[in-house]
Amino acid sequence: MESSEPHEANKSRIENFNALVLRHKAMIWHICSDYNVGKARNMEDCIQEVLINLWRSFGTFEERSSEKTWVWRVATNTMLMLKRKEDKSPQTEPIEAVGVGEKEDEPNDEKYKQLQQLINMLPEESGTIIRSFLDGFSYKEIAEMTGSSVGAVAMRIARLKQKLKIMYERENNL
Amino acid sequence: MKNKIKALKSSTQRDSFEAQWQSRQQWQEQAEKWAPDDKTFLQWVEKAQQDPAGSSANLIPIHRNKRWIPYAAAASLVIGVAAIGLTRQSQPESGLPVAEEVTVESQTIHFICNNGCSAQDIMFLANKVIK
Repeated sequence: MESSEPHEANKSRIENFNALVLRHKAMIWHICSDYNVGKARNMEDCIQEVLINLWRSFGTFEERSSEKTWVWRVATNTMLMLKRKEDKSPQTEPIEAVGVGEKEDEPNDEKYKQLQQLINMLPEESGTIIRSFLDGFSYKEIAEMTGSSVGAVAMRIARLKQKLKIMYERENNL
Repeated sequence: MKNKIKALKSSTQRDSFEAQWQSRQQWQEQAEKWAPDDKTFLQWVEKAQQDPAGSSANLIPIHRNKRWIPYAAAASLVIGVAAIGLTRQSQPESGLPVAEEVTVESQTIHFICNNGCSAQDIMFLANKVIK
């Protein structure tokens, strides 16, 4: 397709994208924040990376999945990409997150962070599935995203929760 | 007595796990509270829209159910066809982290994963290119 999109159409496209981002900004922030627990990443950089990927693929979104699912998937895959890059080149920086959200009254529930760190220790696919559940997707939606059956998803989530509980108890010397 | 203390501690910790689990499920409330304001987000959006690779115009008609694919993705598909072949052989259960199933590093796979395509989308594109 040629790059001669009418100016008005482009303007409308930008407005639609802006509105989409504002509808889902809390979820975007939340996903970046979750993957950043215990990491020395800059939140603004992460969010920026997500926004770039959303913008790049905005033209291909055709509502076969829900808008929420699409945004969630792009944001999650972006963070997984960053994580993979880091795994290849380990950092030696301090483990406190920096950047946006580094306010004194930032959410600082240590227990919440502990669960999040345990989820970050799970294999990538397991972590993604448990996050999708905790982020409010139904078994049916997760089954559609993963190409599994609803029963298999339910069983997998129950097992992962049990595994996390054991990890948690071990971590706390129980 | 020692056992009682241990049991109590254990029970508290277990409750604590459930509390964390439930707290994590209520992320929306916290996220709404802590996410930057609309103005900040829109500034970031503006930056993202200046990304040269983010042009909405570079779409080519690889087409299924009116699906248009960014030119860059289609071009890199040709380069990454070998890697995609590997993906096809080891089609994962999950449509989410496809790249981890691939042993060959491929920008193509990364690009497509980053753009929210499902495993089925990738298979479709791979078949298109292989044909």
